[in-house]
Amino acid sequence: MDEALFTEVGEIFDKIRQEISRVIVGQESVVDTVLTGMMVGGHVLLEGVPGLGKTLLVRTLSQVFNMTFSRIQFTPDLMPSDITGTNMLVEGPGGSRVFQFRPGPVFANIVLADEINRATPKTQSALLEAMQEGSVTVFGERHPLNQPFMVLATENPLELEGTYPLPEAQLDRFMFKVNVGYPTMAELTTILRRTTEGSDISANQVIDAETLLRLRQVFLRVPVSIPVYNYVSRVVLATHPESEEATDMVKKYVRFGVSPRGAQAMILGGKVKAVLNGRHYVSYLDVNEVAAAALRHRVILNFDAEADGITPDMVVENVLAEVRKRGEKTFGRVV
Amino acid sequence: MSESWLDYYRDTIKRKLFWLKLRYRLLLFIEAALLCAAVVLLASAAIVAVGKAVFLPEPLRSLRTLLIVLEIVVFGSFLWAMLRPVHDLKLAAFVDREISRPGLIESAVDFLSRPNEIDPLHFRLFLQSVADVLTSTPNKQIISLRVPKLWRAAALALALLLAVHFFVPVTRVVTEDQDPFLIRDLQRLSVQFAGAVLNTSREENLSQEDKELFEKAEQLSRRMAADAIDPNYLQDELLKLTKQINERSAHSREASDQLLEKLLQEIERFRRDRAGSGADNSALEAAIGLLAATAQKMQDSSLQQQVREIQEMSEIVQGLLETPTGEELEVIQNLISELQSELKRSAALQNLSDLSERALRSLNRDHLGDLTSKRRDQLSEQMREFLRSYAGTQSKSGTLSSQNADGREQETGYLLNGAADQSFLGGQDDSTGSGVGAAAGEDDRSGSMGVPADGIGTSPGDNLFGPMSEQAEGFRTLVDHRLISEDEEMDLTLSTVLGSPAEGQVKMQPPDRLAVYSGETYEGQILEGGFPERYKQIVSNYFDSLK
Repeated sequence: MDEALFTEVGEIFDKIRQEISRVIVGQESVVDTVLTGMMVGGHVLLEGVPGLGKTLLVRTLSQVFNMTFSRIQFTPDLMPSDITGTNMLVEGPGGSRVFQFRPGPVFANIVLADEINRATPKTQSALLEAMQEGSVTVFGERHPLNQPFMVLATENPLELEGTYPLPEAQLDRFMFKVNVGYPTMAELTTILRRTTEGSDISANQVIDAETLLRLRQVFLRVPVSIPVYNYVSRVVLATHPESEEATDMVKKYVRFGVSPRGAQAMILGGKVKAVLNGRHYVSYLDVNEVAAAALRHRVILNFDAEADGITPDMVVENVLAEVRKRGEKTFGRVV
Repeated sequence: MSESWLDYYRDTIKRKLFWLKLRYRLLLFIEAALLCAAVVLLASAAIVAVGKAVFLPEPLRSLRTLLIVLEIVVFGSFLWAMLRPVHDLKLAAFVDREISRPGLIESAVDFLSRPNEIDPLHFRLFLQSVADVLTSTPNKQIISLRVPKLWRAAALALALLLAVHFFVPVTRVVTEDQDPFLIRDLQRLSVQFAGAVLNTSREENLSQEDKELFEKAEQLSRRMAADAIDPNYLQDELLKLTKQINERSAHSREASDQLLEKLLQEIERFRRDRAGSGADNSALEAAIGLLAATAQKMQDSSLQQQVREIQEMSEIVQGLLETPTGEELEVIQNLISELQSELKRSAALQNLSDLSERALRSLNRDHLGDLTSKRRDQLSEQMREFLRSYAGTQSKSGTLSSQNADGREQETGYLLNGAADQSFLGGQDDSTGSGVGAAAGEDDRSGSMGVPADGIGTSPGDNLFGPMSEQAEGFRTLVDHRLISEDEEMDLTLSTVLGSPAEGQVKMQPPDRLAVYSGETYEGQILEGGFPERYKQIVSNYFDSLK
């Protein structure tokens, strides 16, 4: 492992944050979560109303990392081949006609799937293989995607008419789901000043794709103790209504619990947080920090929850609190 | 992986954990001991509370048992805390919580158990940070031996126990381990009680309240006759009864006084009328004068005398009634008979009150031991004098002669043979009698008593009295002194010193005998008997001191 890089991780991160903040006003937690996902190769789903800077964030990221960026605006008539690319009949040397693969927009380091829930499930699923396998198959031929590869999808929680909500299987591919909230008044003022005075602010490159891949190795090798693995497992199992670990709230409001990918997301996110917090091991605090982003889109609520105004975030919070309490009972007190 | 840095950090961390584990065990011990103590104290409070209502056997209700149980639980807690397995991971989790670094030591313990699976760079840096934290933080800061919150529970349990002990009233009626002397005394008193009740209940002019009072006294006398009456309960009941009797008695005395006043006035009026009418009947006037004088005298008499005097007055008036002027005396006669009844009632109440107070005194006789112990030095000096004097007499005449009340001269190898015989043996069975008068050896328990035989504290300057001994099991009184000779030891007690068969030995009397030889009676017998004045003086002093 690159020891020098390891010692510089914090500094690099600070620079990245600094460059992004030149363009994106506020939204620090969104930026941090997206960066966290990016560091360990995860895809991130951004949910928020239009105009909150989601697309700008993705574009800025590509600038900071100096990586290729493509944006796909998902619409109902978008076809899978519009994403993956297709074989085109082209005239070759000597007049022969041959099929040649024309890569789609997915062949970029950072793909922005804008308003992903507006495309049909068929088109949405075209992203499945790309996100999970890091490759696409067209006409039986597998085409590996560029590395690093990251999908940042956006969803508009409003205007749900004519949309195709992402199926659970598709949602599970996203490592994190981030809720993009409204800026504060001060942030909004800054946004207005920056965007209405004709100034053209853009981010500078901090690291390149290769460095990102090396950094990824640093993060992935952060050790995790068995008790922390156990803790994450308990948290995930506690989201399953049929499980013995399930909390009362889960039993009442949850239809399906978190998949193992949720646990993986917690651990991977925890590793990044550990390094960023100056630790050489993953603490319970690190996994807790990413728990909401890793679990909220994987907790499927039932109708009672909707009726009672229960959100996935509430469930996750409840689960964390309960598991922590049980842990204290087991390990905290002397007798 | 066999890098030296790993060994170094492993040793550092393990060493630290060893000491932390010891502190953790101590903390476990403190907490477990407090928890157990709280439980034991709560249980004790419950037992004490139950013991107030029903009889519980001695081991259950003694403080010693509580202390032993507490010692056991404390020691058990210590053993449990020291011997129970404490897993490193659990200890690490506890330490993490104490130092507010979730997962730090826990991860270290886990990683050290599987070093080959951990990335070396991360591992080294991690262990370094762990070692830094552990070495820079004192053990007492990591695991402080604080008093757990449980102390409140233990204190509460103790407070509850004390509250129950001191403030919950005794409601039990029956106890099993009764003082045999007390039982005997109470049984005797109960007979007297019952007799008094029977006599008084024959009185015709008893009020309903009086009857209820006597009924209550009768019930109490039955309880006193039972072997298993609880002294505390009995004491409470007797106090209540005595108070009620005294109230009634005061009432009755007040009524008697008023009647007496009225009687005096009536006699005076009668005399004036007689003087005014000019009739001359010297016999009648003399009788009337006697009545007036007796009535006047009654005002300063005791109750018993009043009863006798009113009887005399009644007889005088009966005689006068047969004379021609008898009709004029009818009012006086009525007043006399009324006063007579009231005085009888007063006397009955007084009798009952005396009995009740006597029973109360009997119950308090356990203080005798304390009293004896406080005045031990003085008593021992008196006893020393007594024994030397006796020994001197014995050496002169060989035996001590005494003449008992019926004038029978008898030889007493022991001091009180005659007295005891006369006073108690008449109504006693053979076994009791043989213990007193006959001989040692007939009854092993009583044995023989001795005012000292030759060689035992008989000459001035001997170390006559040895160290004080403990209260002997099964015996009522403390052993005042222990006489030590070359061959044996003799216990000198309040009861034995003055009255047991003497065959060169002094032994404590068993309970059933001791009642026979109880001091009060001996005192009387010695003082009235034909013993040397010097002995009488000493015995009198001795019992005065005890009183």
